[in-house]
Amino acid sequence: MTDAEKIARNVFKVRLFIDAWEALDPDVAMACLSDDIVYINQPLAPVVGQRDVRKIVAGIMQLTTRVHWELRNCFGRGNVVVTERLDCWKFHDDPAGSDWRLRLPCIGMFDLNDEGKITGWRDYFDNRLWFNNGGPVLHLD
Amino acid sequence: MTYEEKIARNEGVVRAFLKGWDNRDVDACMAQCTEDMCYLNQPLEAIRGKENVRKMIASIFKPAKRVEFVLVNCFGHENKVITERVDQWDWDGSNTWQMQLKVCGMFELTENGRIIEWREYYDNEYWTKCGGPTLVFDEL
Repeated sequence: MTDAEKIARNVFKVRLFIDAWEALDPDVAMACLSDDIVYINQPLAPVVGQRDVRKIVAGIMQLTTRVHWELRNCFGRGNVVVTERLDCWKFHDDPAGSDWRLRLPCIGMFDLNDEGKITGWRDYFDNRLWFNNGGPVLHLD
Repeated sequence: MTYEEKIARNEGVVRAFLKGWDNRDVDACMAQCTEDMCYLNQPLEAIRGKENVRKMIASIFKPAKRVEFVLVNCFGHENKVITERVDQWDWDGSNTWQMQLKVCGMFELTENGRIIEWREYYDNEYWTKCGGPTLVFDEL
């Protein structure tokens, strides 16, 4: 596999992961991640491993009616992929027929291993914007 | 200039811009930017135009005693360069870092290699809590 092929595969995997969020499908999302996945919502504490990351991911999806991650940029170098996004959310307690509850500008950095699984996921965004607009808890405690 | 050369040049421009922060040298920073540049600290209001951005950057430098931006990742694609960083700040001169801000900055460059847009993503509360000065232009 050439470098360009590896980057294309990694970008594809990250896009698949984003598709899984839009489908609100925790199984497909978790299948993109390695067993030793490290998920960090900066500046919160890291969440490590499939079991704990699934709790967070499934927990957020459960409270979400609809989500669209608008990709503004997505490209890779080596084993890293960047996503610059506008994450649009509707949560369960939102009134029916309402517009997006939250439009969150966000950058997610992804590290992938040789098998093309995501081993590191670091999201950078304004936490107050997330929590003040219905965003669910992002840590296990 | 080949595509690879352009990417390398763009990454060099962004590194020079960030080096300007380490040296708290606003002239060195602004030399890498266009007249109509846009500086956006998400989700705050964008700051437009070189003079306004210069004013903001200079006001951030003012209380800082020491700055070091650690680059975790830096790579380009087309006219973009992404930087993933830990920005370290010493505000009180105690030779410790009172702030270690985890942040991503996305840069867009013009054909001739100047920064025209800079979008920063980080937790604003962390910035404020750790002694960061205002990033709102109207409060300058």
